[in-house]
Formats: sequence, C-alpha cells, structure tokens
Amino acid sequence: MRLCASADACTSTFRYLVRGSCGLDVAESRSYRSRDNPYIGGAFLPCTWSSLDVFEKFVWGPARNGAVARDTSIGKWVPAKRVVPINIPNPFDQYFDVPPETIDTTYTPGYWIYALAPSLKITFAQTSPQNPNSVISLVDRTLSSKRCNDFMGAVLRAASTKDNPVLHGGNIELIFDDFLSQSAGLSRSTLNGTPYGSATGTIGKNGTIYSYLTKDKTETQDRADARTIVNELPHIAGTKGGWPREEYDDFALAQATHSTSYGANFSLVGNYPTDPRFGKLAGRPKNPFSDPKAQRNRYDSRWSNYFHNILRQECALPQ
Amino acid sequence: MNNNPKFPLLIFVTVFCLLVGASCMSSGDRPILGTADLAASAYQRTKSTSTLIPRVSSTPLPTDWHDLVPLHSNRADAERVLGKPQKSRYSTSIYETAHDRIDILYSEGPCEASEVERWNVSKDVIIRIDVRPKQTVPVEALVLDRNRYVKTRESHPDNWFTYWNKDDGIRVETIKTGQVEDVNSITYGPKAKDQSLSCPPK
Repeated sequence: MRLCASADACTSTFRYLVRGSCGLDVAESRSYRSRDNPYIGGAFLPCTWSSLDVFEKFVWGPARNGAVARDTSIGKWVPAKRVVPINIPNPFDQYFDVPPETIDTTYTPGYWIYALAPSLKITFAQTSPQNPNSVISLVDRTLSSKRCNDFMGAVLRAASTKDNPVLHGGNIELIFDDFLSQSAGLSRSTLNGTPYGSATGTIGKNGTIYSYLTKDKTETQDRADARTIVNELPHIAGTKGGWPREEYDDFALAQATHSTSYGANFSLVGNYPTDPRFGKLAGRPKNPFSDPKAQRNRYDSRWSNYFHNILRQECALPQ
Repeated sequence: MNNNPKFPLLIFVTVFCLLVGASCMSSGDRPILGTADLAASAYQRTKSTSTLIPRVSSTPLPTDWHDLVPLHSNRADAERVLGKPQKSRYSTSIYETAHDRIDILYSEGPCEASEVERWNVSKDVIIRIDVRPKQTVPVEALVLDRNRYVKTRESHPDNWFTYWNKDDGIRVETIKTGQVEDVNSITYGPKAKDQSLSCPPK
C-alpha cells in the first residue's frame, strides 16, 4: 500500500498516521519543516514512504534491534526492500487515465539470513549408528516406516509448488539423507529472538534445525532431537528451502494435508471451552478449517496443531 | 420488588459466579467446570460406559489401559474390550468412540517390522495403544506423578509438551492453549521391564 505517491498527493489517511502531512496540513504540526517530509517520532521522513516503511522504522526495526540485532555474528539482516517501478509503461494507460505515480510499489519485508552456529555438528558427531536410540537411528526408523513414508510423500507432493518444488519428489528418506550429508544439520542451541524448533536455510547448503535443549537425561534429549527433526524436516523440504519462504510453513502444510485423505485423521474436534483461560481461542473451533477467522490468519497456532497432530499419528517415534 | 421465590438464590449464584470467575462461565447450556470438576466429570469414565477410558478422577492415571498390557495382551483381548475395529491401517486398528479415538498397534510377528516397532513377540500382540480424547481435558485431570513423569517441552510446535513415564511405558502429550495445557494423546507402550523383548536393529 502506498500512501503518498508524491509530496502533493498525500492522502488524508496518512495524516492520521503522521504529524504533518507533506505540507498539506501545516496547522496540524507545529514541527512542520518541510513540505515534502512528514514529521514522525522526531524525524522527517520521505513523503513517499508507505505505512510499511513507517512500521519498519518505528516498530519492527527498533523491536528487532533491541532483541536480536545486537549479535550480528549469528546472522545477517537483509533490509526491507521497496521497488519503485521506474520508466515502466503502465499497461492500463490505454484503458484508463491513470497517472503513472499511482502505480503501487512492491514491498519485501526484511529478514535474517542466519549464519551457522558452531554447535551444529555436535549431535551427529556424538551419535553412533550402532546405538538404536541415537538421534539418527530413531529418525531413520521413523521415516522408513511405510506409514510415515506414505504420509510425508503425499503431503509434501501436495505442498510442492512450481516456485519451490519439493526435494526428491517428496521422498522423506532421501530428503533426510541430504540433510545429513550437508555441512549444517541440527543444533541444540537457539538463536536470539527465534523460537525453539526453528528450521532455516536450504537442505544441501545450510538447512538447519534448532532443537530444544532439555535439562533431562541424554536419552530424553536424543528422543527430543529426533522428534524435532521428524516434525521440522517437512518445513525445509523445498528445493529453495523453508522460512522465510512460506511454501512449507504450518499453514501450507496444513492445507496440503487437508487436501489429502489424511485430513480426516485430525483428532481434535469441537470447540475450545469458553473459559477465558483458553485465551483468544476460547470458544473457537479446534479445527482451523472450521473457523473463517483462522483462514484469514496464516500464523494462527491451530494450523500448526492441525499439521503436527496428524503427522505425529502417522510418524510416531519408536517406543 | 421481585416476588420470585428464587430471586435470592439467583442473587447468590450471580455473586458467587462473579467471585469464582471462570468456573462459572457457560459453554452453551453446559457449564464449564473447574479443573477438579473436569476430572470428576469429563474423566469420570468407567468400563460400564461407552467411552472406554479408565476412571482417573481424583486418582493417578492407571498404568494399564483396561488391563490391556503392551507386549502381553493380544488382539483378542483388545476386541473383548472394544469389539471389532472401525478401520485398520497398516498394523494399526482404529476405534472411534463417542469421546476418544483409540489406535492399537499390533505386532506383525517376532522381530518383524510393525510400522516403526520391532519386538520379539508373536503376531497380533499389542505393542502400543494411543488414546486421543475428543474432549478438552486439562493435564491436571490425569494427576500425573511428577516424580515418575519427565516433562519435556517440544521444539516444534513449541506449545506442545510430553510427559514420559519410562518405567510404565506411558507418554502423555499435551498442547498448551492460552493458560490451559490439555491432553492431546495418552500412549501406552512397552514397560521398562519388558525391554528385553526389543529386537536389535537390522
């Protein structure tokens, strides 16, 4: 969304967001100094900034800088990008009298490219193929079961897109082999500002799964790692990787699962009780496909519940 | 002045509900009960009811499910309790009851691959029982002994937790929604004392 195409084209909407408005409402802002730059939070900004730019500068940016960006050794921040089309003929000019400056800009949010943590190889270096309860053995046994293999294949093929096709046609065992053979792998550390269980990068290059470091016995940790890999691997199964791409996120994999016969296996039925302790989900359907509100929110936690509820039925770890 | 003889009672109930808060909120016609009440109602299930979930109200989660013991009980024992399964997939029989979904994994034979499991037990011996409640059941209702169950937070989704009682072979998986941690599944597997029946990896 672009609020100001030019200094003179600022809309009234923008005036509510900023103090001063490209010189059109001088009286509203005593701090007005420039006809071209609205005054926000102590700075004069280009009038052509979109609301996303404003949020980036004053909300997301400071939040990120305060919580995450201090340690740049762990990753590289790719800043948000606005592409303003220049000298691109407006194909609709022949039909409508649309001035070129009203052409919208495209906006790509900023994101982190994570450097590989030094602890990445710890888990696999410590595992032994002879140990049936090692991480690799547990994952191998799980993924090689026909039940899990069929499920993963069906869902990943359904999630595959032209832009980010699934690796090996969705053969999860081959995907796991690729995951093992790359330099990255599993880390029991977590990155600042990222939740446990994150998966980043591209398998074959830098695909990384971050597992939760338990405080319990090693056996528990190995099982936790194995469960994390089984649950996270589908999220980075695309040839172009996972997050920040959306093709294999919880929402996409839930949609893919729902499109197969496995969708009927979702075991959580009915609504959450209206007890306020259930937070914003109180009284709402447990199945996100039954709730239009969930359909509008890609990051609703019920998408994750949906996909992983079914995945864990099909891909249970050995006892 | 209200002449309704029930008026003082209504006043009392209203004031009580305001004081107690969440436990008086309604869900349709059915009141939402507190944790203790959930344990007493949602989990007040006995063999005599159709739900086929053991009674756990005010007592700890039983170590066996309806006397079915993995690696010892077999298909005939299970069908005595549950009847014929609604459907089967791979080595698993699936039962749908009014309140639960129950998956029972059977052995394909001594050391034969039975989905992800391989145990040195005869064909049709129960390896694992998964019980998935269809109702919302707070984990507190199971009265888990924290000395026997190791709690692990899942990496992903990070609002999921596992309670593992290795000695008794029981896993309880929970999902935290808001402030409530409710049960996703209860799995009864081989007990620690039966580990000698496990098969070496191929």
